[in-house]
Amino acid sequence: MLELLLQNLVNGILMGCVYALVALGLALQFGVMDIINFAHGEFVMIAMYLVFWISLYLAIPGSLTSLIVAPIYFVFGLVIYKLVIDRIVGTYPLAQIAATIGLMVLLRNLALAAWRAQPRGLQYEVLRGSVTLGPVVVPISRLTAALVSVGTMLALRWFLTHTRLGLALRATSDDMQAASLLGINVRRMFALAFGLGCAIIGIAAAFIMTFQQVNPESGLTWGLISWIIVVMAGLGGVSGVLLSGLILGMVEALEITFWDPRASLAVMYSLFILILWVKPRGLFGRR
Amino acid sequence: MRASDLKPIVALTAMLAALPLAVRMNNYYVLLLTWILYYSTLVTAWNVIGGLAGQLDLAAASYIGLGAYTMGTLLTRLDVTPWVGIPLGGLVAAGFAALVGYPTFRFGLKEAWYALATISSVVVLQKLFLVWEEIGGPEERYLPARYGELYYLRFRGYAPYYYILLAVLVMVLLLNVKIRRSKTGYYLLAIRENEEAAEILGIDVRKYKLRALLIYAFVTGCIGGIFALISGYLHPHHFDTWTSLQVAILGIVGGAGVGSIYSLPATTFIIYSISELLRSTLGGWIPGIHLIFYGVILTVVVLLKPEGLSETYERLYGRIRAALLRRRAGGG
Amino acid sequence: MRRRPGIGRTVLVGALIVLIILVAVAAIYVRKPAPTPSPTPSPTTAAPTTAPPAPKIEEIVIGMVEPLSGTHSIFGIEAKQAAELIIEDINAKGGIKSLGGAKLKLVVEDSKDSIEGAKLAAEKLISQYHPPIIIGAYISRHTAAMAEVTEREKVILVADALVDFLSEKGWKYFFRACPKTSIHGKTAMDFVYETAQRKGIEISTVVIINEDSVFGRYTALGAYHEALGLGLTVLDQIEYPYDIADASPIVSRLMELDPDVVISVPYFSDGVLIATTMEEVGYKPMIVAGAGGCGYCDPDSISAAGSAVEGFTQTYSYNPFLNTPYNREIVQKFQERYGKLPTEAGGIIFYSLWTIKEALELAGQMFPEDPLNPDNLRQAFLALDITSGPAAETYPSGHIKFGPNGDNIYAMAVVLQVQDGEPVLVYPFEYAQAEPIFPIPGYKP
Repeated sequence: MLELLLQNLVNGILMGCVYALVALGLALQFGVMDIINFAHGEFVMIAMYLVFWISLYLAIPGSLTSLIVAPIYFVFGLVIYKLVIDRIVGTYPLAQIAATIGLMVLLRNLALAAWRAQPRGLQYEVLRGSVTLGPVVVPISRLTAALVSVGTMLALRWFLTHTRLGLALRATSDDMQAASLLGINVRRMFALAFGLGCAIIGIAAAFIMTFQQVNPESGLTWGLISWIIVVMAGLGGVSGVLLSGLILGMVEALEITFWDPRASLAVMYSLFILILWVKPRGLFGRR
Repeated sequence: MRASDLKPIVALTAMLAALPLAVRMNNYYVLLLTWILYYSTLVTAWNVIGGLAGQLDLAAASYIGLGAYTMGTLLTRLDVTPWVGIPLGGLVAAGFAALVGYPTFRFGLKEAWYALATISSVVVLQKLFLVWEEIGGPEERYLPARYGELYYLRFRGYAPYYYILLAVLVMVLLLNVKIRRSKTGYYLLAIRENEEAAEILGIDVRKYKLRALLIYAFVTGCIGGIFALISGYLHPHHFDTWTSLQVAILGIVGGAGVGSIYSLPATTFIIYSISELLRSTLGGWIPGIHLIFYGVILTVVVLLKPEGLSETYERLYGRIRAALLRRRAGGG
Repeated sequence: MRRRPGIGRTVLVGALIVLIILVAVAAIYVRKPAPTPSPTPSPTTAAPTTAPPAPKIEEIVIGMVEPLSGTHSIFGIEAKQAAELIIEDINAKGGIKSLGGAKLKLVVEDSKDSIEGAKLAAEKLISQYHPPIIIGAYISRHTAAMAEVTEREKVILVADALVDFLSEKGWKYFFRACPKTSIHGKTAMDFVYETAQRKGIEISTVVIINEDSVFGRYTALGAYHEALGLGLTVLDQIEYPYDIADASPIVSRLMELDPDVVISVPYFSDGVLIATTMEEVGYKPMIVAGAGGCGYCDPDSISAAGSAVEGFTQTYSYNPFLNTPYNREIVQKFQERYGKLPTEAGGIIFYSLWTIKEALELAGQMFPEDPLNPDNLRQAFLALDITSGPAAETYPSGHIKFGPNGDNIYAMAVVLQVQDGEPVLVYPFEYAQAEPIFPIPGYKP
């Protein structure tokens, strides 16, 4: 029993890192622009398809496609920003939510029309097998994903604290008016934040694909998980996102192990609603 | 309520009541009309919270499911007639709304957070009913197939349901008009425009938001009971997030709370018909075309006409009217 | 609110409601005496011939309702592809000969993956095309919603949904050629037990994992009862949501329980997820036997899971490798046109449509004056006993005969196993292409 507990805590931690990486892009966009993108999960889904097709046609492992998908997705993010987000930033909240819900429905069903519903999984992947650490077995694919996740977070954190652009982003996030007065082009910062967020989604998608498959409905799962994490993290920065991801991953793993796997979503969402009530600014919020 | 409020309702009712006869009771068209009326009723009810109070509520499917399960469980287990079960379902839905809504408003959840919390409640309930084998469970629970008996409210055709829903729609329309003209309505409007300002003016924001939510949840719960009667069974899939989204989409596109209340049933009628047309003509080649349409129309309307289509209808109506008057003047 | 003189509000509202009720009652009861169209679904008839008794039937509409959008569209789309192919084939081979070579015409409607849509689709088909037969709707609850319509309108419903209770509702115009879920579960268990006996290996413990729909549950129950009947110990039955993000917790639970046999009812991609997770952590029981039509041995799953599913088995309602002339022909045609092997969803349509064709032939012989009358058609379906021809050649047991509840008496599921990356038939033994591999590669006692 102890071994099972240990094993599942490890499972939870690894998945938690992956969840955090998936949510990181959303957290960045929310932090800077104060906008919740309901289509986030669909962005992840489309990125997973990209990973699949690139890996198939170039015959390279899925994990490597992140190097190609991330820049593509940065551009994708800029385009979406120009087409949709730019028009709704700062307007009344109902319009923001509605526009991104529209995007969500649209992307999901375009994917269905284009690629039909069969699940697609990578055929070339170098990350297979596992390492055994005492009583615990750690799958290499998830371990790599977790390491990449932590690495990406450290990189983002460094970017936000050590570069001029990053500092400008943070200033925009803290106080839009003040940043604007300081001569920062707020609109450009928004575009940058949105693009960066999407690039991170691209990285996340590549590593999800090392152990998961994608179908047009995949976005649902990842979108919902990301919202929960962003709410938990509040505006607590990168470490808040990581901690929230870990908590969520462990809650899920323990719930599946010791209660009914069918209820895992119910438990996660109840947790979500509870946090919204008790700590509407998130567990790690700083304001 | 004034006579001018009632006139359009009477006209609308007369028109809608005649529609099934106009399609000669063809089962397909009557069922199509029934589903359109079902969504119209939901959207009109949603107007109370989404339009008047300006809260983007995505919990419609929670209330529908609760209403359906309450009515259905009472009917199958205790043989309680839907005449009693449907309002009870509404009460249960309102109870759940109070349970979730009170803390939600108490802790000041707004905007996107409110939307997320409410749509989460749909998923939570769906999963809980799936696990709760006593009442829910993965197996469909069928309602008694006693057709044509008023006690069971089960019919083989759809016309009876159509008229039941029509009666509900009329009541919900009256309710909307009544609220809008009442003190609650003015307070809600103030909250919608600027919540902080409303609070400073001494309006008990929480109380009025909760009141709007309860009214909406009760009505939606009742409609959920009727939905179960039409579909003929209970299943956790009655808690369907897409239903919630669809209601909100129709509401937003229809311009809930901005213009005339009649814009909502009109929008539902137009969008549902077009999507059904798309599905039945192109659906075979492009799966999901009707949903793509929903996505496009929502995004486009929000980007180009964020206040919804109600004003467009009014302008159109004004123009047609002017043209008719001109012609009459010219002819006479 | 202030009341204005002249408007009795309550009076008006009351009048309104009374009006609605009056119209409703009028609409329902005035129209009741004249019931739905003609009892005989009217096929497109040629210009009235001089001899009145039997108008020549040129075309018979076959309705089809499948989920073409939403979560289950993967099955619905394949079913539609298969149906288009078979209808073409039937027409190319001369149509319904006993009806003077009448051609079949397929009309497909999307069930929108919802009850609402399934009902709407059935009503639309019936009121606009008057098909004597409808086939569909893959998902059991959608099929049930449709059955309410088809029973009322007296249209034959040929189901391609497997859940047991559909045939237990007392529906009169309901037929199902494919094996039901409990047969799938039972077949998976029997296969494991008999293979173990053949190899002289002792098995005693079983864990059943299934996705949490009614389909998963009924299939799992079939395996569960069979396991108990065979004297095996079922350690646990785990249900999980099909769209699970990570299978590690479930695999960990399996490792902890450490059964000899894992019976698994996957939905689709969850099967691949479970298999790859098992491979990654290096855990293999003696066998993972899938039940219920898709998950481990489909071409898509094998290409996605690679060596992870080597040795895994799965029960199917259709065997694409069945070595009969017609099956080889149709599989080849299907592959040429759609670029993939037909699986469960398409295979069921193959033999179901050919069964419909045989029933129409028989109806033409038995009731030449009114072959499409629903009760005559029903008689023809019940009288069918197919042991040869395309329907039999695509059916696992090669034998279709409907019992009074509409289920095929000779229903059978087959077991495929992934061997060297290819699915091969291993059970029933008398039809097997290869000896089953047992225990599977990677199993460490």
